[in-house]
Amino acid sequence: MTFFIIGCIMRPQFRFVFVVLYFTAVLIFTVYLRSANNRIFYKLYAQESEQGRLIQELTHKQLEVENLINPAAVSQRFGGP
Amino acid sequence: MYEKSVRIIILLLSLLILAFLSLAGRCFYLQFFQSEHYVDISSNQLRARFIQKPQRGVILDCRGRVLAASGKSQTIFAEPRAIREPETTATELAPILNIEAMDIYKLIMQSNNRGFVEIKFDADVKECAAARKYYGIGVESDWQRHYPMGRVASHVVGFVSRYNHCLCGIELEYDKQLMGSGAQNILFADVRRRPIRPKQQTGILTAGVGIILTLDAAIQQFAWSELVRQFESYEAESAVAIVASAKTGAILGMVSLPDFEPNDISGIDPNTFRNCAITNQYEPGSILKPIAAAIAIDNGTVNIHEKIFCENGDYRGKGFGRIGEYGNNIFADLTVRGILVNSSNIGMAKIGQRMGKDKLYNGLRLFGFGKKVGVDLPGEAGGLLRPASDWTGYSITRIPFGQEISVTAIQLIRAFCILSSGGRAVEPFLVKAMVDSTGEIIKLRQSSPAVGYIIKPEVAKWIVTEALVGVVNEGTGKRAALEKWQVFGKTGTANIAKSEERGYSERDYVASFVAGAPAEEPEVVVLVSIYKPNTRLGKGYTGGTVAAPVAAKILEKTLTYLRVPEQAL
Repeated sequence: MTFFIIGCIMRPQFRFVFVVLYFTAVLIFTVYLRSANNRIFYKLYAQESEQGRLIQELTHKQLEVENLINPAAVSQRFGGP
Repeated sequence: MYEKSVRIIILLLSLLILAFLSLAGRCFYLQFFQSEHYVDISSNQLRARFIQKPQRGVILDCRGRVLAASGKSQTIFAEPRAIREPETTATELAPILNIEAMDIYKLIMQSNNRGFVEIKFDADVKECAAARKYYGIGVESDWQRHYPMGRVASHVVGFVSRYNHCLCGIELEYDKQLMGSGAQNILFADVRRRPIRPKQQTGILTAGVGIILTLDAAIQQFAWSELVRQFESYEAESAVAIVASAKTGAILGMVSLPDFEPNDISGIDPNTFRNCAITNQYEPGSILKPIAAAIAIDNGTVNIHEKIFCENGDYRGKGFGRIGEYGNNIFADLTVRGILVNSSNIGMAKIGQRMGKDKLYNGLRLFGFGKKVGVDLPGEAGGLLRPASDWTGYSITRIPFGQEISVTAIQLIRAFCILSSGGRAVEPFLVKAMVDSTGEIIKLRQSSPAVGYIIKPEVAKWIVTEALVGVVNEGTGKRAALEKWQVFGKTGTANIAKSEERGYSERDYVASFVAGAPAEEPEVVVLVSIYKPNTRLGKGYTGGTVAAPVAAKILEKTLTYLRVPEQAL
């Protein structure tokens, strides 16, 4: 509506340029929207992978701690068999 | 001139038509005959498959300490057919991976599989990031199993190899539950193989179930360290220690030697995977006497005040041969208590004869001999208790002191748990609970209700607090006595039957000791069996010498750890 009003009050020689620009912008926006789904999916997938990696890093740290504090390791540090 | 031009035009047009016809023919051929082939190529370019392997469930001890868990590990691999200059690739990879260039080169060149050759297993993040920049080098991620307790709990926990083979322990018994289920995602991918949108998913990724054991890692460590010391000191062939809760039968510790390192099983003798605590069947010897005596008192064959003449150490008769006492001891009249304290074979033989084979057989079956205990481990043996109809005069006089019967260590621990819990039926168990990946408990083992008595509570109490306390205070088990708690126990020194001829070996023994404490209200029962201690060392071979000190140390550490109140002795 706003664009229509702008078009009406505009000088006739600029109207053509305005319409071309308008349609170009609409086309670009449409293409952008069409690929949004894929982009969001990729982001989600990347985030999931990152989350998995962080969980694994945490698991590794936990295992490292377990390796240090489990009774067998503690006993070994105190000179046990 | 005009005609010539027309001909040229017709020729050109014909050629053009021919060209179009050829093109149409080619299109037809591609569309109808080669379409599947090109659709496949196109699909492979468009799609990326991601196989998601499930994380194997954790195995925890009763206090939540990790006994087994899976973590992701990265493997750097090469695709030999894709590498154009192996020398250059090997030289450049060498400083990154800390491997000799020549070794990498050999791996690439000598591999039979031209599509995959492993360069480095369990590589770190930096190495992976640097290595994957080279053409023909890739990184593959897979689950790797970790065992923080190492060999200490090896036979109970078991192991999973890198290729997902389970061979023993809880890992094998609960493989299906621990494994979880995998999934495969097919995604549309861009030219750099980045996922754009999902295409198809098969299966749902579910992590394996977590298993919580009754085992306590600290008690397991006590048992393992004490047993290893004695096992090495006596150069024994194998050894077993089991620690169980007297009231519930929950296994708090279970050690079998020789053991293995589950984090690195390469080159290990497969025989060491055998858990001797549940697979070794042996004649228990004198350690069975309290059970036979309890059965006899319970069914009224003997009473606790009665004296039995022990034939001054030499008992012989038609149908049962000659029976002597251990160490050529001579005993005359002994009560049941005296028979157990002095471990008299003749006294027990006479009790057996009086009881008769049916009562003894039924009693032993009720105590669980001759059948599997059903503990949550694979490969359990059932022991050997022949039907009473097959017994001879030898059987009825030998079985009461632990010959002509084969038992497993787990069966013995159950029998003594029954005595310790006042004659109540006790089933040893190892798995306390199972928890799914969301933390929900899907199986919880409750303690057995106090029903189903194997023998009368007063008989069980008397055996424990009078006879077995006597064994530790005055008899063959003095080395198991503790300062802070009253211990009850029984020794067992069994000759091992010769494998190639009749009779028993005079050199090979099983030295056993079963102990529990505090005698008035037993909390813990410990069994130690050491198989074939080296008699040539001259350090002794009896249950009282070899096994009792180990049982006492395990018991003392366990009671202190469990904060069992000390007693005024």
